[in-house]
Order: sequence, then structure tokens, then C-alpha cells
Amino acid sequence: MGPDALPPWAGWPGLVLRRLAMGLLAVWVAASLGFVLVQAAPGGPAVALLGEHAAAGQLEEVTRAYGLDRPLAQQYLEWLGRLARGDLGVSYRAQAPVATLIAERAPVTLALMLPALVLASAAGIALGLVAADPRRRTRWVAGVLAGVHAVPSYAVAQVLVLVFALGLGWFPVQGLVDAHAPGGGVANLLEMAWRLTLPVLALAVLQCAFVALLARARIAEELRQPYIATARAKGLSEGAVRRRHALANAAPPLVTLIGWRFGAIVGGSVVIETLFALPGLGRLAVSSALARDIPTVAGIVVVACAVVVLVNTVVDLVAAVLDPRIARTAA
Amino acid sequence: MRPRALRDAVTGGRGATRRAPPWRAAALLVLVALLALWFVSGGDPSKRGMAAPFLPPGAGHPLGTDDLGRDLLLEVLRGLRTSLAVGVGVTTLALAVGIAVGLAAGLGPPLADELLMRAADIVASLPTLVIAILVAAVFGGSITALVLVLGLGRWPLVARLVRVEVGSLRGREFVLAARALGATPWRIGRVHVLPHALTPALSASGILFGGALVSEAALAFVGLGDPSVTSLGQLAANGFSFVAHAPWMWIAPVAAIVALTVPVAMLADRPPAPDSMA
Repeated sequence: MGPDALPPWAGWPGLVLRRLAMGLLAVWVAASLGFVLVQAAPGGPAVALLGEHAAAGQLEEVTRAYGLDRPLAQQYLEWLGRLARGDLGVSYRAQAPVATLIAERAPVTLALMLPALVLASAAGIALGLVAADPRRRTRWVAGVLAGVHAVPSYAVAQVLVLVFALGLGWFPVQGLVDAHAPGGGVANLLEMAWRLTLPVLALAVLQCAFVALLARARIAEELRQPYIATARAKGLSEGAVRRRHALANAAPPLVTLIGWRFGAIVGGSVVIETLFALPGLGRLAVSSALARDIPTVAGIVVVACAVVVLVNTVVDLVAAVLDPRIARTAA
Repeated sequence: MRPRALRDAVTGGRGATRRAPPWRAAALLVLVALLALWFVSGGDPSKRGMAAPFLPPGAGHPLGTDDLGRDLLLEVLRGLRTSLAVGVGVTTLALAVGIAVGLAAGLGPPLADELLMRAADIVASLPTLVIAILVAAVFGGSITALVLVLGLGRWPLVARLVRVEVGSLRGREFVLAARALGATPWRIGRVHVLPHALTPALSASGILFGGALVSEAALAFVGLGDPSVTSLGQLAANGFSFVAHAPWMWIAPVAAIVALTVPVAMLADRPPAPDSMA
């Protein structure tokens, strides 16, 4: 939509409200999906909530407690109400509230994902700055980056383990803590950081290739703009032109696209946590899914969706801060 | 984000008309060779002769045997079949839904456009692989369910690309002429707009295909794959536990999936969709 046809709700308040409303809608869709899947489970929702080996008495109890004999519409509203209050149900495997389990595991997943995201973004943008090629003479670089990004995450992680853990012996193969070491203190944190190095690298390599691919294309696009010629004409070095002018203008869409990758990083951490035996949310989701602990999986999935949607929303708003045109023309 | 910026980000800011780089032909050749394997990889699993376990690659077993004495070449071929089936299924489904939504949004009334594209935004923001884990938990690992989840989760990319293209076609003379001649919106969409809009839609198919393969392998790798089929992810996970004394058990499935996904990505030759892969 061009600037001559701005709707009345254009501008910052409209943009923020709109993004928040969209985010809420997305979380609602995820929550509803969770409800539908639990309802559709073979054997019915009571079996889904209690597991296949529950006694008949237990089944009746949970049917009454959760009102599973009531109309679906009412159950649905109650499910949404419980989620809104942060009640994600009870894991029958761990006999503990799902919300507690998630809170226990979340720090590990964050300690894996955030460094990977920062590392991948920084390295990817640096690569993109160097490799951006407005005259399109080095197209093979894009091919190589796309190829790297298409390698499955487990293969990257396994190669890293083979080289740096099994081969060189620099890092441990698996695990977050050394069971034999006395716990606590700075030494413990350093130990964890050391043990997280390979998982973070494994997660970051693919995302780095992706960010580099995007950054390279976006920066090359900017480098073809007339204002770049002006910057060069006033005597700026190539590096300064790329960093200060091209990157600054390429940044808003990059921020959006990197933020949209968050969902993929969540998916990637499932594989990485499983491979490296890290006690995070991804591994909990997988082990719960294998044990048919559906309340736990459903809880993690709803929370993961909510977090991904939240990140997407924040990222859209950050992009609008970086590029005022987005807020001005947002419709 | 604005549609134009999105398209540029996905296509690398390049138009549709450009010369294919030379390595594309090589990548295409590798793909065709792998697709041809589909036809030779049959064979009744119950009739497969059991050999000694951990046989290194050699005569009779070109890729060696695994821990259960199964011929690894056959296992990898069966894994490739699964990968290809998932890739084709997800790509077809996502293209079908995405093209339909993109056309309807671009040619329909503004309200329908708004609703459909916001629905696309919502679907695109949900992590499909995570939802696939829940589906696997509820129904058990199932290739059909996985294709449905990934296909119905990844059409928004196609819909957005088609929508952008349709938006630029809508005001063109040939569309106005068709309308002046009394063509229905349905006919305009099908006959006049769809052929043009197919190019951007198909440009996303490499991304969809590769992403589906990687997702399937990732789920199988963590143990949530379809237990009734062989998957490269599951072979790679199993092979890795024997990597010290039977490295071929790990190298063969990893090489196979890399040989499939990397050429696909290089053929696509554009940044992959932000919401496409694990």
C-alpha cells in the first residue's frame, strides 16, 4: 500500500495493537490445536491425559475432575481458561504440574538457544557483509551457503562430536553436568559453558549459513542503490560503505527474517538436546512424546508456540523501530 | 513486513529471468540419479537375506551391513524412498493450498484478502516441527500425519509469493481485457493469472522439499518417526552409536541425506524460507 492511501489506523499505535492482536490469535490457534489433538487421541482424552495403563477408577476420576463428560464447547473454554491462568495440566509420568517441569527445563534450552542465536546472527551478518556482491560475480557463494544450510542439524552435530569430542577430546560427548564433580560456584558454570560449546556451535552453524545467505542478498541489493554511489563519492572506504550505509538499510528486513527463524531454532534445539543429552525442553518433549505423556507434550507445544509468536511480534516491532517507514505505512 | 521486501528477501532481489549457474546442472543430475533409485529400491524386506552383522563394505554388500546384518545399501535406499515420499507429499500439499489461497487473496474482495493473508501470517508463525512432535505423541509416528502437518503448516510461503505476483498482475491490460470480455473471476484466475503466478510458487518448491526432508529425518532421528518405514534420520542415529567400529553405518545414511538436501537447496539458489526448516 503506497503512502497516498494510508488507512486511518496507520502509525505506531495501530501497528502495536495489530501485531499484539495477531500474536494473541496465533497463540489461540496453537492452544486450540492442542485441545483438538488431545480430544482426537486414540482411546479418548482421558486415556490421553492418564496414559494407556491407567486403571478404570483413575479414568473415571480424571473424567470427573477435568469434566470430560461435559459438552465439548464447555471443555474447550475451560481448557483455554486453564492455559490463560498458566495451568498446563499434570504430567502423569512425572506426577508433577507441566508448568513446573517446563520452568525447570527452560533455562537449559535458553542457555543453548540464545548464545547460538547471537553467534549465528553476528557471524552470519559479518559473512554477509564480506560476501555481498552487487555485481553478482560470486553466485557460487550463495550456492555453498544454501548447501550448508540444507545439511540436517544432526549431521552437523555428529561431525562436531566426532572431530572435537571423540577425535581431539577437547569437549565431552554428552551431558550438561559432570556427575562426579562437586556442584556449585563459578567452576560449575564454567563447566556447563564448556559442555554447552559443541551443542551451541552445532545449532549455530546452520543458522549462521542462513543469516549469511539473507544478509548477503539484502546488502548486495542495497549496494546497488544510488545512495551508495554518493557514499563512495564522498570518499568512504568500502568497509564503511557496507557497514554504515548498506547494512543499516538492510537491517530491518534482516531482523524480521532472523526473528522468524526462531521457530526453526526451537525445532533444531529438539534434535541437538536429544543428541547431546541436555536436560532441556526439547528433550523433555521428545521423551514425553515417546512415553505418550500427552499433557506434557501439549504443554510444551503450546508454550513453544507462544514464545515463538512473542518473538516474532517483538521482532516485527523492532524492525519498525529500525525502519520508520514500516510503522508509517503499516496497514 | 512489506510484500515487496519479503519477495526480495526470498528471491535475493533478483527477477525471474536470469541464467542458471553451471553447478545447477550438476545438482539436477544428482537429483535425477537419486530419484531413479526409487525404482530400484524395491524388494520385499522379508526376502532380504540376513548376513553377518557389521560387515564392512565389500562384494555382495556395497555399503556393508548394519548391527542386525541387514544390507546397508538397501536400508539407505528405503530411507531415500521415505524422504522422497515425504518431500513430494509436503511440497504438493503446500503448493496446492498456497496457490489456492494466494489466488483467492489476490483476486477476491479486500476483506477476503486481509483475512486469508492474516491467516497465512498466523500459520507461518507456528513452529511446525514442534507441532509434529505433539501429533507424533498423540497418534504415534506416522508418515501420513507428518505430511499433513508439514504441508498444512508450510503453505503460507507459497501463498505470500503468489499473492505478491497476483497483486502486480491484477491491474495489467490482459486481465482488464479478459474482464471486459465478461470472464468470471474464476476464469481470470485459472486461465490468465495462474500461469504467471506459478513461477514464484514453484520457486518455493525446492525450499519446501528440502525442508520437509530435513524435518522428517530430524523426527526419525529423535525416535518419533514412523516405525513402519525406514528413515535416513533413524539410520543416522543408529549408525552413530556404532561409529567407532562400523563407521560405514553412520556415513552411508548421512551421505545419502546430504546428497539429497544439498543439491535441492543449491537448485533453489535463494535464501530458504524463514519458516521452512528445523
